[in-house]
Amino acid sequence: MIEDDLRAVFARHEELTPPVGPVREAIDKVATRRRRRRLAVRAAGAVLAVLTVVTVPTVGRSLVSAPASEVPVGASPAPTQAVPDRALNFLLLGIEQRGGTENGARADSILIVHVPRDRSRAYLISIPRDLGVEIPGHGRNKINAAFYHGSHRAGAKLDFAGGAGLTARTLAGETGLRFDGTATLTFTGLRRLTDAVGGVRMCLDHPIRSVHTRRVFPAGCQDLDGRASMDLLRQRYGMEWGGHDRDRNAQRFAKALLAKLVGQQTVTDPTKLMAIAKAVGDGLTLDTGDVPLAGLLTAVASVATVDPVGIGWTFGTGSTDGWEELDPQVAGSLFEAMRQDRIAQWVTAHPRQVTR
Amino acid sequence: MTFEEFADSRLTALLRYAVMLTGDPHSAQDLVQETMVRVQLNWRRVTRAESPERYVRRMLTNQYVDWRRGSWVKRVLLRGEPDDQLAVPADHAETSADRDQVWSWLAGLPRRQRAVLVLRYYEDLPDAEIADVLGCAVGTVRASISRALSTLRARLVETC
Repeated sequence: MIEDDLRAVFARHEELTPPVGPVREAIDKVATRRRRRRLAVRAAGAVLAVLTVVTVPTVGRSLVSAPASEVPVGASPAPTQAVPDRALNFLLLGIEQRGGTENGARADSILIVHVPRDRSRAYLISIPRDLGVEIPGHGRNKINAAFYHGSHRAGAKLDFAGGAGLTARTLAGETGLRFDGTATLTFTGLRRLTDAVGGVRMCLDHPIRSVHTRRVFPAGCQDLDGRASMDLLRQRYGMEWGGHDRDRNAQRFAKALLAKLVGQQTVTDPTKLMAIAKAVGDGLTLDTGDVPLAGLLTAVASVATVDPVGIGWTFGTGSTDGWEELDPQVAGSLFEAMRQDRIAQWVTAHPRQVTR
Repeated sequence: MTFEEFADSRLTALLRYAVMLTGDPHSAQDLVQETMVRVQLNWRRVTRAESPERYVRRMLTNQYVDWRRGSWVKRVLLRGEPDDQLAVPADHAETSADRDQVWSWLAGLPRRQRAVLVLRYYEDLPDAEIADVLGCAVGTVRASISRALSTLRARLVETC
């Protein structure tokens, strides 16, 4: 009796079923967005790993011969100094140099790596390059301009450590965090790194035509050497999503590079690591302030074995000129938690902010 | 089978099923959307299942049953960007008000019990398959059905 009623009730309410079209669209939209986010975090983890990998032999070498040019600001090893017993913050910058000394360089990707005091794992906090900030001594501008102001020296070679330093100071003012080190990787550094590992295999879903060299990268998988990778990673124009497509290619590249490093067991072979570090040379600039590098890397190495936690959606899109702004509530509490070494609790309380 | 083919052939049925579970088109859309996004992102794992169709129905049912844990309600209902609003079908309840009381009583059931009823009397699945969908024993399914039915019967007696 009631069973028949149930069947009838269900059948009658079939007409409540929403139309398929909009649902289908929404699924694709959300899935694309979430896939991007997921890729971004993986790529960030990969970049962190690559940087860790590349910096390890730099230290080894600097301990042996310590060429001044490769160990910038403050890395004069004071053996008595220990890594501070507190949470650590690092800044990773990816920059593109735009021809010569005049145009300068801007930081195109900015990532804070936060390691809590218990060194349980790394947390990656992406900073949008278009974030509007107060740059000390240079007024209000986008965050990526801080690298330009800090590194630009009229008629002289760009001062990468200076650019990274000003970016770190700017972010410190913005967030109240202190930074224990910065790492800056140029496109040249990426090219040399790629060649040093013997090229990477990248897969594209659309053909891409270089506006710089007119080379056409077909859709599908292909082996790329350093020069080709760099060419590909610079492409932004004429693509459906512009800068976003470029970011996605950069993420693909980072994944491919890491896969290659792991596949060749470079990560565990000091001789291979040494060769790569030598090849990258000044493409990577590292500045660890007054924190000893060797101890720092020990700290980071223990962390690198655990998957990093990515944190995103901290920033609301800004009002004007494509500038972005911090979401005052989310970002405020996040940076406070980082200052107080409570990020694990913060992440637990803000599951939506964790990118997968 | 590609995800697109799967979505083309199964989306309507999933939406209907979700309407029976949630009782309204908006929640149904959110439930299906969240499930299918996860299906798309994990498509390879889904196709490895013996029957993708059953696997997805299981995902969606669990998503619905776990509602109160906030797993998808937080992400879907509290998210910042509302989707384009659906047109709500005209209210037809007045035409058959008394019989549709059963529909509103369903909303008062525990989610697992409602899911069992939908699987039994809408999807017409045998008990063993219902147990598979919900990941519980066949005995549990039968107990849930009888509890749900007796709740509904009691309501029926009250109103008569």
